[in-house]
Order: sequence, then C-alpha cells, then structure tokens
Amino acid sequence: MFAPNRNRVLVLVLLSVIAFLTLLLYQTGQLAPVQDLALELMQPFLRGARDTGEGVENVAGSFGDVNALRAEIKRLQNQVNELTIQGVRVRELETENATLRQQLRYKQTNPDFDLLGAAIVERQPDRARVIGRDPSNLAWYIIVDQGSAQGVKVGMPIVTPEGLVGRVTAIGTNWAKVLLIIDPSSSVNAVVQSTRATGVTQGDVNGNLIVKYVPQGEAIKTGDLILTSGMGGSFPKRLVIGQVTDVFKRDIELFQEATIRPTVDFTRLEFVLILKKFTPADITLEPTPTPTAAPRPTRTLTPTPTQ
Amino acid sequence: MSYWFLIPFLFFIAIIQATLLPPAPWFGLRVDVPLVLVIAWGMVGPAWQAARWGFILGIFLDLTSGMPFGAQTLALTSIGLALGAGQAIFFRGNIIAPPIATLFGTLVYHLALLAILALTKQPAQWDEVMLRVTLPAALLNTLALPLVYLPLRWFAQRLYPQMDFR
Repeated sequence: MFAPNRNRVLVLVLLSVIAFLTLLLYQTGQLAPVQDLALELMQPFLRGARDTGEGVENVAGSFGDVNALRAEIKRLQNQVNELTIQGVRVRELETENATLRQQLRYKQTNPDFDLLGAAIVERQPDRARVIGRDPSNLAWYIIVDQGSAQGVKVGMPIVTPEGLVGRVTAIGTNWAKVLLIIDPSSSVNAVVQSTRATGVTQGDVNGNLIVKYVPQGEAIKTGDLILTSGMGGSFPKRLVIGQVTDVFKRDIELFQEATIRPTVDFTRLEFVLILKKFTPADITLEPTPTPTAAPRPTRTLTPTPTQ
Repeated sequence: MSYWFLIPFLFFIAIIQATLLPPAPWFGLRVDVPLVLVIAWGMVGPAWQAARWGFILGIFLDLTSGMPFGAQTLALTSIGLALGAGQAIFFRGNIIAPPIATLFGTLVYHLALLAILALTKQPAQWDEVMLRVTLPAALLNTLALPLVYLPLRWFAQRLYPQMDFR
C-alpha cells in the first residue's frame, strides 16, 4: 500500500480515467453486458440482505412477545418461542396470500393487461416519509427480479392494485431497475378524475408528488383523484396515481399546481406487477373534457378515501 | 490493507447501503455510509488510499443505483483524491477537520452527482436538492461520522502503527 509516489499517482490517475471511461461507456451503452453480469452476480447478496433484514425485524418483534410471556409463564417459554416463530411465518404467508389474491383480482378486472408479477430485490425498508431511494439519497429506484428473460422491456409500466408505481428504465437478464413516479425525473401525463382537467405529475426531491401544468381555468380541489391520462402511450389510461392534498393557484401564473398523496405506499412495496402489454389510449375517441363530466371508472380496486 | 479483505468489506457496505440501512427519523434521509467511510479513511488511513476505497465502493454502488453508471465511482473517487491531497498536512490528529470534511464532502458529493445528471441530460433540481437534501444529509452524515471515524481510527492505529495519529 505504501507504493512509491510515482506509482501511487499513476494508480490514482488510472482510477480517475477508469471512472470517466465507465461513465462514457455507460452513456454509449457499451457497458450494459458487464453491468448485467455484475448485477446478476450481486442479486443473491441483495436478496439475502433483504431477507436477513426482514428476518431480524421479525425475530426482534417476536422476542418482544416472548419476553412478556416469559415473565408470565416461564415454563412455557420454549413452546411460546416456537409458536411465535410459526405465527410470524403464518402472518407472512397470509400477507403474501392477500397480496397475491388482490393482484389476481386486479388482473381479472383488467383483462386487456398482460401482467407479470415481480418481487422487489432491492427494497428500501424506509419507515419515514421519504422513501424508495437510490443509495445516494438523490433518486428513487427499486430493482425487481424480472428481466429480459421474462420478456420485460424498458419503458414498461409497473403497477400494484393500488395504482401506478413507475416504469422500467434498465433491464438485465433477470433484473430490472424501476424509476418510481415520485422521482424528480419522472413525468406522467395525468387527468383529474372529476373534471377531466389534464396535467403532468412529477416527483420532487423529498419523494412527494406534484401535478403541474393544470390550466388556470380548470377546477381542481382537495380530494380529487388523479389518474393517468394515457396520452403519449407510455401508460394505460385511468390508473390511479393519487389524491390531491393541496392546490396552489396564483392568478399571475398560466398553470396551477397541486400536491398529491400517492395511493401506492412506496414504503411497503414487496410485490409489483409489470404491465407487459396494454391497450394504449386512443385520444381521438376521448370525449371533450368538461368541468362537469361524470367520473369514469378507474383501474383500481380500492381507491383510498380522502383524509 | 489486503484487497482480499478490503473488497468484500466494501461490497458488504454497499449492500447494506442499498438494502438494509433505514432512514434517520429526523430528515427522512439515509446516512451516506460509503461517503462517510471514504471521508473517514481519507483522514485516518495512509495518504491516497481513500481514492481507492471510493473507486471500489463507487463501482458497487453504481450497480445498485439508477443513476448513470460511473456517477458514484467518479464522485467518490474524486472525494478520496481531494482528501488524499490534504490528508498528510492537515487532517490527521485535527479534531475539527473530520466534521468539516464531512460537511464539505457531502456537498461536493451531491454537487458531483447533480453535475453528472445534468451532463447526461437528466433533470437535476439543483436548488431544491441543495436545500432539502444536501444540507440535511451533510448534517446527518456529520452526526454519524463518529460511529465510523472512531472505529476506523482505532483500526488504522493498529494496522499502521508507524503513522502519527496525534
């Protein structure tokens, strides 16, 4: 490690050059096979770390119960331990079962969607408001365990029965990186359910959602549901994005903005659905938006009530 | 330090950062453990070694990150290089230097990532990020620094007893 100065400087220069080169190669797409292979190798570790985290969390919770029971009935300690662990397993299975049933119902109510289930490999187990972050605190991505081998392509939307999650931005053989809709670089064409006013939802740096570019004349109020408009063809129409919590309207500006509470709980994402095929919105068949237009059915099973 | 030990250790740190590390309760942000590690080693380890740590950690982080590949590598290597330049003269043994280096290191790290995002034509909200992410993150990283710095200092004292740690 204590190399002569000349060699040391050479190594450091080399490291910097390699760092620059990787960035350039990434930009030209030359790095994709290497990245794919590396992440493929890394996936078991990511999965293992996630499982360990969940295991520790579960066991920690179980120990709390066991300690309380030990004080009350000491002689039953071993039995309680065993039952507690079994209980945790059952609860996990019940939760998974409920999620999968919910996703099955979602698939049945949307027969035009070609859906693929995926588990989160790199889950951000955040418990706070700001969630689903990249290691850098500056971006919101997750990694799922489905990739090109399962027919996943870049740009495919990711949903849960609660609503829109994001879209695939990079894929490997058995993994895909998903840009969440709460990322600042994410934009989704949206429509206000009650008035059909259009806008664009974007994330902000703190993981909140904002709907922008809603024309001043359009009505938008707290509690309104925001859906995907389907314009542009990137997302199917009428997927729930969230609910308006605040409206910012200033007469001097061309557009109004509103903050949205996403219907998807990004802190608890475990399974998501990759929308492999859907019928794109045909905007030529869309009715003319009017402020009094009747609400249209949405692509959700349980819209979250206004708080 | 042997690369046989170093690489798995840094790989482990990257995995922890990407999967298990919870956010702090105050800001909703996570401590940038790899960054704090590079900064701490830049101050207690042999000169210029932090750049190598930054390079290796950066590669692992880039694999799990949605940002352009190489962004983390470039940012962390640069910070390691900058610390390497000042380390021998200023940092070691100075009690004020570690927190100051962490504050500025976080600033430089975020600026570097934002610059790379801007260069690769991705949206970068400079002012918003600086105010609502970088400043809290700098504070958070500084608060977390002793947890990384003190064990690393202890480790460096044993690994490199010939160095002056006063």
